[in-house]
Amino acid sequence: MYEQVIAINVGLAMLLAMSLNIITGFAGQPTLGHAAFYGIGAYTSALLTAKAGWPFLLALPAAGIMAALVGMLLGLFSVRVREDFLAVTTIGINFVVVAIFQYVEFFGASMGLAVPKPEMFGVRFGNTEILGLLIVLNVLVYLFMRHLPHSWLGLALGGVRNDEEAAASLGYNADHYKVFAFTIGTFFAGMTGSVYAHFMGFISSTDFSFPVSIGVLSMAVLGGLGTVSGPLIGAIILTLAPEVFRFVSDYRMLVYGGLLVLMMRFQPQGLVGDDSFLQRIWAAVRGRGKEGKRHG
Amino acid sequence: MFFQQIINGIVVGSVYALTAMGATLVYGIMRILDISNAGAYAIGAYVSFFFLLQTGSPMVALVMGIALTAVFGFLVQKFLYAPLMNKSPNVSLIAGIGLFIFLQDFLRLVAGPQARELNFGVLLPSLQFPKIGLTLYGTWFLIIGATALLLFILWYLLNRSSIGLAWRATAQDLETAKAMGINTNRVVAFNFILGYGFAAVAGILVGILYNSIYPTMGDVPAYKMLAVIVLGGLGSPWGTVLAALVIGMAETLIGGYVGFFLPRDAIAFVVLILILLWRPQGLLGRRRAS
Amino acid sequence: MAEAKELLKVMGLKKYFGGLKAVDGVDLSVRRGETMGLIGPNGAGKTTFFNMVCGAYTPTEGKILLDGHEIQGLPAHAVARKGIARTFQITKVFKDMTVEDNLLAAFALRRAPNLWSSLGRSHTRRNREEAMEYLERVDIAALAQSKAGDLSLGYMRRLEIARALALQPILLMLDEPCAGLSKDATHDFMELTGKLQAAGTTIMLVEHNMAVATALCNRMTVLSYGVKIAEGTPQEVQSNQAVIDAYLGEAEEA
Repeated sequence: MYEQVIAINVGLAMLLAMSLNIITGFAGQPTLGHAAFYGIGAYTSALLTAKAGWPFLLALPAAGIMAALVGMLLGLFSVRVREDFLAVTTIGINFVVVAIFQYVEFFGASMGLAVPKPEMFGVRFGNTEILGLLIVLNVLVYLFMRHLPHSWLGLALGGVRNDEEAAASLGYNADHYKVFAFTIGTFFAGMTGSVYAHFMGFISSTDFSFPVSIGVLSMAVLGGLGTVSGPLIGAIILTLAPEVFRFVSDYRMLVYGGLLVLMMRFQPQGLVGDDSFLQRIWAAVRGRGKEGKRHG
Repeated sequence: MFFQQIINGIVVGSVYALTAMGATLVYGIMRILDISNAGAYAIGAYVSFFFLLQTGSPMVALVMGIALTAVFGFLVQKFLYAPLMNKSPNVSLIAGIGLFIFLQDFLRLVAGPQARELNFGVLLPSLQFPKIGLTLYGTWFLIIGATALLLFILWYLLNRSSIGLAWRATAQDLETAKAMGINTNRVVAFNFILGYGFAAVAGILVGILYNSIYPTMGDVPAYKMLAVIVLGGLGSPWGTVLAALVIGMAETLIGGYVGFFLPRDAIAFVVLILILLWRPQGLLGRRRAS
Repeated sequence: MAEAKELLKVMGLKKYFGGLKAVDGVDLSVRRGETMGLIGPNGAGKTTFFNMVCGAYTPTEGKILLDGHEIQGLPAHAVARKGIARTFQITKVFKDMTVEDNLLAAFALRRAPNLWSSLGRSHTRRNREEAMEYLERVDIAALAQSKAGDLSLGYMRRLEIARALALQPILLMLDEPCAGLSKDATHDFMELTGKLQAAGTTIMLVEHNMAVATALCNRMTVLSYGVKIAEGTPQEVQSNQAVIDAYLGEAEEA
């Protein structure tokens, strides 16, 4: 079903945008190569199920762990190489990972990899089951994201994001928290990759190329980096945009690019960021009674 | 064979230096990774192509291609980047990517998706040295010569003109430059005119080199130039030249000579990552005081 | 063993930046409960000295003993865990976080000491109430839900001090806490410091302004060109000829 496929794509995008938000939104570290971890998860899961005969139930977390291990390495790298240097390095990681998938025989090279449809508890996974799994994962990750701003980890990442020196003066080892953020974020991205692989039934290196990373970052920034719901909204909008603009299909990329420019120019804090127009409407609707109190 | 690879490397490096110079200049002042500069690269080539068709004059085509792209750079600065200057770098980055996607698709819609010949009628003889297996193509001299000339012009502008002096002061520290009475708005505008002008020259020259332009010709420069400017030390024009040569050499030597299993782009980034591990501030970058 | 009278003892501390001897063999001690002022003209090496004690710089040579334990060369976060809290000359509040969150961030040291425990909930009622107590101490409880970056400089300084106090440090280090403050805000700060002193807090402060330092400190150490030129009560230091010369020299240069 067409709607189901779109819903699955939205679900995958939401997971990716949330996972990126942990690293870029909360820890403040640039990530322009998130698709690499998505890909590592996908390939890990594909290889484990197709070649090693692992059940999907085990391959799913294994995909997350494999991505997290590489993510941890990137985190360690981020301790030494910073800001824009790090940003471009993450692009590099994306290219290198994609090139390895594309040129190494073990990963199917240019032929890609066929991925068996998963089975769990005797149920063979069709799109409906994949969608159900995605809903479960989205709810879990969303609950984690909602918890984050009220957790010690959220405060620590806030400190690292704002000022590493000040964070250190409060006893935080900024390096540890950076690596931790990369590890968690890439873990979620890897799990998402696993779901993607088993949904598609076939993966190839281009599914995880640099433009995919840009797309995920755009979602998070568009919705509002560092907010809980922003990346979800961004993921929904940017995944649905090509469908909505199908009637002007020849202008799709033009509209997409123009939309990004206008959104950044006029809502740089994201759709649900501080003082965004949505937030002002929300405040106006909710706060009519409160307004008097605050000034009273 | 070896000499051939070395000269290949220098040519590729020159192309990269040209291509990355615009984004280097923009970064020097604005501290943003300006991916739309790769859009200007394609725009420059196409504007030039248009005027070549209309007038048949390579000179007019060259001048108009550069001038109009430079004006475009001024407008991009004024209406897009300047208002975003104090926002998170992610915002400018995504805005630049959006603009890049927009420009590419705009070119596709206006000029069609097919590749076009950008034939300036430059006919330079090739030199052959069969004994050492070396062929020197005429267009290579054009590229290396043009790069050298442009770098000289840039050096002259930055070191011998008053606006260049202001540029260097602003690149050091925008707030201090402002406090010293430098009109930083003018510097920023000049910066974009120069940066986008450079992008246009690069696009035109590469178009001539391969005798082909197409709407997505900015795709590879969009990320390759980032690798080059970061390796150079971000915002250092001479670092960019050095990094371009290093990456050009590495790609041709490792790719063509050693026979590495990964493609060019990946080699460039592997080199980048390894060098950054050794020098996190890039080749000629200074560690900024924290 | 009886508690040593000296909480912080610095011996022969040096920091060379290439050929520049920013701090060149300084001894200093801070006694429990006192306020020690580190003063001196611009470029005397005060901030460098301060940063070495806080772990921001690694000393070239010398020892720093906190409560008898060597801490020189430890990274800043480890120094904080040993019980030294600091503020910054250019305030470093977490600007995009609320005042309350800034404060809560300082509790992690005691409540969530490692990565795994950091997954726990920080905004419990108990923690938030405790955060309010610290904010009340510096009179900014009403601003708890404001964004820290929106505060005035004076309020940011107070927030920084509250955040430092929330670490429950054994030594509080303040780096030019009055720089850039208005007269009123400076007065407020001195009042606040008076309260902290009354509560027995040990304080070390870097101060450029002689009047502020004189009013606040029990003892002072004067640095000039990286070496100690005087030490003693404010009265002793003020009448010391070397100190007068150092400050006069600066006035002439300016």
